[in-house]
Amino acid sequence: MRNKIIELIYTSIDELNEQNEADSQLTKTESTIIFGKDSNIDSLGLVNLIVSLEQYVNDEFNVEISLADERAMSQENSPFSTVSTLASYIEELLKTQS
Amino acid sequence: MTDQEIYALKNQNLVGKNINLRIANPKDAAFILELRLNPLLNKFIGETDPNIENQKNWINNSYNKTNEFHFIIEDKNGLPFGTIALYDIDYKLGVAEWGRWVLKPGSPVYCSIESNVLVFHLAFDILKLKKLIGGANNENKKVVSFHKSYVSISSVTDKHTWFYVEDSNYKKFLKTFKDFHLIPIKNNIKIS
Repeated sequence: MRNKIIELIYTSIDELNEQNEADSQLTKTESTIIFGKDSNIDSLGLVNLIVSLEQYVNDEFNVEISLADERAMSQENSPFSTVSTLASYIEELLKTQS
Repeated sequence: MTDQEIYALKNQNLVGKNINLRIANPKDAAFILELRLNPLLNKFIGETDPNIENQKNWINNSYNKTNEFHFIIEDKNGLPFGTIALYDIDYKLGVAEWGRWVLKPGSPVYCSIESNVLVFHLAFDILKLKKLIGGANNENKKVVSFHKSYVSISSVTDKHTWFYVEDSNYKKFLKTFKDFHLIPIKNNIKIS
């Protein structure tokens, strides 16, 4: 499941990179920082990534999870910190749903 | 809605979870100019007169129009993050445009979502409009992508994507971003 989730995150990163300038691209590694001080994306970029990813996850696993979570998107130790923490967060949400 | 009721609305804030929308006044002229003259932000917006007195006059004119709401997006302590507006409102047809949406770099994530929620709330729940029309420069890909998650597209030209929002789009937006507003049912956002 985790590999599939990471694949979906990378697909969303591809989409986001198409919207971003050349100097604001996200690399596709598990340690890539998505959200936080050292992130390459701005707040609207994060919103777009989350909305797109939520759709992909819901389509792939046929469950409705909500990633657009205000607290998760604001806190210091956000589950959106890196690709890896985001994958774990989604995995956890999917397990809770099933 | 009478002119008196419209001005009463303008003199109140639209209150969201983390931000408020406050009608711009001449004291905001410097902030608005700083935003609109920022080279990082003004690639995709119309030209702005850099004269502060002209900007103050423009804000006053906007305030005096009953078919226009030009807002400052600010946090609960009055720290401004950007602007957003509802304008060219045709109350008879129930149609308006929304836009002039500019957020300063580094604005919190919730600003983009909540500012649109509050404008839609004003349009659909308070003013009882039926349709909002908007557009974005195609090169402004992040904004186009953000709007595409809930709007209906009316046309795409070489330069712009034009879209509209009706009540069903508004509901979809509220559902997608249910964690970012206080509207489980209609008219639940407080007006202070």
